[in-house]
Amino acid sequence: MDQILDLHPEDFDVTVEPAVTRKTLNAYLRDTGLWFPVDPGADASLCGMAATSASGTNAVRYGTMRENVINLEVVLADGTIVHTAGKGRRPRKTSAGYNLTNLFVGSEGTLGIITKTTLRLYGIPEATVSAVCSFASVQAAVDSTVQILQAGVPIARIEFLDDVMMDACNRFSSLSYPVVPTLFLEFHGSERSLEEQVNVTEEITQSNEGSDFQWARDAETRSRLWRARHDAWYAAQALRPGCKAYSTDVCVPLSRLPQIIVETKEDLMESKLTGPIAGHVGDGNFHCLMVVDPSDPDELHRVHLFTERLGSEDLELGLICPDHRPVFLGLASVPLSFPEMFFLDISSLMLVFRGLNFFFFIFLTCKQVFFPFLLPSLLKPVCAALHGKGYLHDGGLKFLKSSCLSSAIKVLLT
Amino acid sequence: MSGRVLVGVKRVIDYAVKIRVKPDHSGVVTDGVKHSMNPFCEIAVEEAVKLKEKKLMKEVVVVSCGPQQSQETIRTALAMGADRGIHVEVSGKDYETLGPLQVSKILAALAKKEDAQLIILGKQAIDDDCNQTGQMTAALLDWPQGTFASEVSLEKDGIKVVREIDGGLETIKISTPAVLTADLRLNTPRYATLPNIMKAKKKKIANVKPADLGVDLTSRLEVLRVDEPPQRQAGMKVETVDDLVSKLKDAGKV
Repeated sequence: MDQILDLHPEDFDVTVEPAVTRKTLNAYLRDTGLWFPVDPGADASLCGMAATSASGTNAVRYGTMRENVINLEVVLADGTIVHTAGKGRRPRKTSAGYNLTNLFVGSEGTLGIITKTTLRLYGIPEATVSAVCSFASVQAAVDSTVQILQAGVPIARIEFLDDVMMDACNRFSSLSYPVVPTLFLEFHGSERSLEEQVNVTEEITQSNEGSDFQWARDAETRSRLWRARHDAWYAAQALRPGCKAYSTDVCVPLSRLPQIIVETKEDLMESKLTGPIAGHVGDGNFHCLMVVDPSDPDELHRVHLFTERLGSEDLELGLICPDHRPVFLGLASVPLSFPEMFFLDISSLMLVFRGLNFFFFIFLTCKQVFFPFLLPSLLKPVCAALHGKGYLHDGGLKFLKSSCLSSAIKVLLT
Repeated sequence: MSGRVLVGVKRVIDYAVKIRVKPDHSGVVTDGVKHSMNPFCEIAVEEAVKLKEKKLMKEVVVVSCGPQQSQETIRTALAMGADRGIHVEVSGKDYETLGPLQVSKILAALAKKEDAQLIILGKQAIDDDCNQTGQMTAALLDWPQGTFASEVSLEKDGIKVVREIDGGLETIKISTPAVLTADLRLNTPRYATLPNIMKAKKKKIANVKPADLGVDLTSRLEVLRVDEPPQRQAGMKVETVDDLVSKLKDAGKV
């Protein structure tokens, strides 16, 4: 299943099978002048990226997988093959029917296995310019980001690396960037529009006392300039050899970004943890890469508490906790995201669950997996959330926690 | 120094495709297989376009020898910045036996006809790996050659070429007109962007027959058989270093 099927250059879409990776697709498309811009970093399988709703550095301008998957062919638990937008259909937009495509995007295999993805393509940018700008403080860097976006600059990539991360990158890649909060920027467009974009951005960064731009236009210099950002993961691990890295993923409204990053850094210092920060600040999303010694239980415990605080702070600030890297947080993300979903609207969620017959198929056919593993981690925060909101009295809470799980489900869903 | 650059491009099976040998062992399967421009030819086109952008050369003319589909390859080169194309029509039996000698005769004839100052080719094609066309063209024209070029700079009294050779890098100075063949590290070819692809549709591609150039396409080579490389044998695991050494001695490798 490694074929690239049905390329329609004039319609800007292509259908791929699961073994096709992002770089393979872009190499195949190079003669057509099109590319697929969602870039989560690794050379990931496109269907896998659909399953995890991958995002990445280009999301600020081109969107994440949710915005760029047009149709999916999915195999459900009972073997039924579903085409989420209709068989062979590839409309650029639709108002007809339920948005099943986006139900499966990000479902991480819990609802079905994706066997074909139809993707939206974009034109390769005429010209690309990269720049790096240092700031005296996190506040200044993040303020610049907010202002750049508000000025309407269609910036392609805007990445933030904090001073700890810059230090790590300098050491790992033998670079000599100043060890301060830094923004890595990339602009796409025609020659003339680039000039305008860059001028507006430079004015903004300079008004926030940012350093002069370090520039690059041609491919070789651009990749040298961005090496720091690309090697961030390895640089973070190299800070403490022998330790493991644990990535967190937090997304908040842009206006809250300066506050949460500053608070996170303070928390890290108080908890004595190593956590360089790198982030797609254009989306209000940042990763705190925790570097921990797996043999130190106290440190592991502090990391666990820190991430819980991070997650709940994030929820307080009012937004989702996205996770497109289940490799690290995996099912651990489920307890954090479900309460958030339940805060929103339990009744409408229940309605959706009832309406989806195949969801029950999962319940019924995969009981052995679902009940012992997923359900306990689901139920604990769900009960807490419901209790906190006053939906469950104490007796009900006790009943749910103690009784047979299948009757608990019946209670919840009726 | 101003003038015309002739760039040769070849349409080959895309580098990412898994090659399969035909059941009758007469060649490889090409029907329905993705084809694109030879990667070294892309580097050659990029170098020519760069020279034009630096105003060192006036016009970039792209040439390809092959069937109707070669025109797509020429269009890609036009989208990268070439000015016009020449499609030398060679199809059927002639195309199957088309090799470096015939192509170099065609390029030599075209260079004289178009009054070219410079010919830039890829060092070799990824389907036949001949690495002969550039050298043969230079010989036919009696022009100097700068092959395996990893750096090219046009100077007042000639061209300085840094060549990649087995021992390292060799720098030579050759006079113009000359033939250059591009090696991997010469440059990074640009992507053809949509606006440029649109513009390229309007650029001219002239149609020429080998007979018009007075070239005889008969080949003195006959392909007898094409086979896949031998399958990779499974390896062996050994427990200790001594075991490894004795196994190597038995196999006569040490």
